[in-house]
Amino acid sequence: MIKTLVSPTSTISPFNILPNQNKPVDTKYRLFPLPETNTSWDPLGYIIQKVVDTCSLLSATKEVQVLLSKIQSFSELQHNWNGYGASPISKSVISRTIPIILSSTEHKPLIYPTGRQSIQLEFYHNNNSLEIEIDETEIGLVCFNEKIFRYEKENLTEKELQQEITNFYGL
Amino acid sequence: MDFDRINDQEVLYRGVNKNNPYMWNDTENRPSSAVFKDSFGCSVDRDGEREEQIIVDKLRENLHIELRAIVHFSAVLCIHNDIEMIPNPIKSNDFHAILKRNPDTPKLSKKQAGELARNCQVISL
Repeated sequence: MIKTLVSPTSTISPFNILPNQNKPVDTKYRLFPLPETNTSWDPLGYIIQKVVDTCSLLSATKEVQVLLSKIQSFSELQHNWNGYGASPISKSVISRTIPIILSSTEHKPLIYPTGRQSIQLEFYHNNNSLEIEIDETEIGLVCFNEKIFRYEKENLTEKELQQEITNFYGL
Repeated sequence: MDFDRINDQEVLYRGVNKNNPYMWNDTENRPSSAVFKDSFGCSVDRDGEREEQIIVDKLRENLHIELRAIVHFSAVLCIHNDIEMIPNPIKSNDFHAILKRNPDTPKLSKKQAGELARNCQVISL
């Protein structure tokens, strides 16, 4: 059974929502459904839900919400989802990808999981394509002009990646 | 078929998911390069001088997923992109092979995967 913090009959203390965190949850998140007990607590689901709902509050486009929902669905992929023995996509990779999408909401990438536990974002602009791969430890990219290779970069920081996306749309 | 090496006359095949997840780029009618990104090198099937329909049927039988398409490309494309092609017959598939970035690194580079996605031929299913 699911209760919400806003329910006057709820018996869940705000202090018990996030394990190992002894402070109350910000009241602006009180509308989110919470599990009856902490045993089924899903931190990633909670974070994604907060992001999605915050987007709504900020009037983010429906397309962004669709992208976030798609990324969230990657957490449900089972072993061998591509027929070639691919492993599931880790929640930490999903969590790492979400802020990158949210920071470039004016450009809507195509999103794919890979068989090497990473997520790929693909941006298209003026016959150029920018493919960004995000995994547990690295962010890298490759750029093509139609079928012609332009450049490839590895070990980017999130900040450097944002600059790369900005530069790409200046091509 | 030479089990020690893949020659430049050969054609290599790979299946692409239909759904869950969707791996196709509809605008360009090709697979995403993410299709070729595997942890231990990219698995493919060699043609082994078989008819295409036999190759397609065998891939569908072996992969146990619903396929959007089967894509194929020549060994020459791999050679031009410095992709290491290694015959790797397994119990259920004599025609299995692995594509690696180089002899020491199994994961294809982003450029290599991108080249395969942009230059492969598509058999729609």
